[in-house]
Amino acid sequence: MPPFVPPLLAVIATLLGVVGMWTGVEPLAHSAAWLIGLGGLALVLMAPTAGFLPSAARWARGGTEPRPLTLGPGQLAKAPLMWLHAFRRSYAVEPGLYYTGGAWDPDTPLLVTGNYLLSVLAVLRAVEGRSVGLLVVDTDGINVWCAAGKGRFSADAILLELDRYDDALLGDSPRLILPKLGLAGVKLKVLRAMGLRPVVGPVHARDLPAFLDDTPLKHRKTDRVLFGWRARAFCWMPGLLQYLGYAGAALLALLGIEALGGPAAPIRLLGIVAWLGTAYPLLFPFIPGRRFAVKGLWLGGATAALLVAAGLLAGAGSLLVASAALFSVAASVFVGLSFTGNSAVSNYSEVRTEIARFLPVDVILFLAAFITFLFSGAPA
Amino acid sequence: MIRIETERCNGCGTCVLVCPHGVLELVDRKATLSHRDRCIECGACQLNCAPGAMYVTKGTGCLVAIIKEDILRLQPQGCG
Repeated sequence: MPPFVPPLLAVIATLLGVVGMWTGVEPLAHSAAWLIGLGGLALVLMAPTAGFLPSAARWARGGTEPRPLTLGPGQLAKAPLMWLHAFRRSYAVEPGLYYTGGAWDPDTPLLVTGNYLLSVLAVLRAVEGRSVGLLVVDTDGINVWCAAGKGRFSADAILLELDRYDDALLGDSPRLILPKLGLAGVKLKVLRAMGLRPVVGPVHARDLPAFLDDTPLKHRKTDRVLFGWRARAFCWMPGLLQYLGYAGAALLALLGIEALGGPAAPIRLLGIVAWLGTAYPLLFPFIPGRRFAVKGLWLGGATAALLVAAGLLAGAGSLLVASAALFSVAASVFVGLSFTGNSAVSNYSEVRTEIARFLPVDVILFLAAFITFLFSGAPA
Repeated sequence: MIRIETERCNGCGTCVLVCPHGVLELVDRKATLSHRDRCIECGACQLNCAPGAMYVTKGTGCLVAIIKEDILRLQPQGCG
């Protein structure tokens, strides 16, 4: 999708809401609060991406001396916004050699990380009160794991960053503490050939204090990724906002159809999406099935059953209820397939097979929900 | 998919060290897939295997990345 499309949609939604509020023209008037709320929220969340420039144009790489690492109030204020927008590259820390504590000390361990703001912030919090060196590698503002997978966090990138500093600064055979998740991109042999001593550090920055206290430093052989509730909760809100953005765009189109004489745009679809976008990540290990889409089918099926029961009790039209049920299953499978990108346990080959099997089915389910809705004739 | 060419493995254990999911272990000084189902195909073992005994179908297990890279054949952009 071209980068201008999401902000353009957000602006259109906000303006339509404002027009509806001022003029009272239906169907904009009764949806004005939703349009302004969602459009405005989307614009606020997109604001941190506005200043993004490709790294080559951004970093002059002028300094040759290590600098103290401090994050200013502006950067700290951007951290929560970055979290909500966590899977886009939107704000980066200037690459280079930094230190914590009073002064640069070549005898302290040298930690390595990418220049994703939240990675640097996590390391900085973990080593608070300690003297360490920190090499921030230019990963284009992307987290270490994703950057390693794409080859941006690599032995070459580490050497490129170290290259502009005097060897004397680094001492003899410096120890580089590598984040374990970076090793999909870093060839240890290349670093050793350059006289460096790479040590495989913890998966999570929060384990750095225990790792640094256990001297002499040892490889974290048994450290592994656990996709626990904390990691899933971290993914929840950014994912939810992403899904609500898609639902908001769909609602915008449905408002257009309503204006042309179609059925009333179902604002309740935002509620269904909010439920699925919350329940799927938080209940992930408890939903039956091993595949992401199968879990989506289970959650969507259960949601559809509840909607059908509620619809029948409320005496809603059968086509409208059928449309909501079909939409629930379709949206849930989509949330499941999307969650492959957020999860730390998705396997490329399996996800590829899953997408080939379930994405066409999902498109058909969405189309069926849409067509059923059009024929539901729910009054505006 | 992950595969080990056991006869090429020299038992150095680097693959076990770099794997973030504990997929591998050394059994009789040979790398073994003890938890194949945990593998996410990140490729860390293959990249760091000196004798070239590891084979991984490396890729990003993500809907958006697969649509961009495998279906639309666009250049990879970031992590997804």
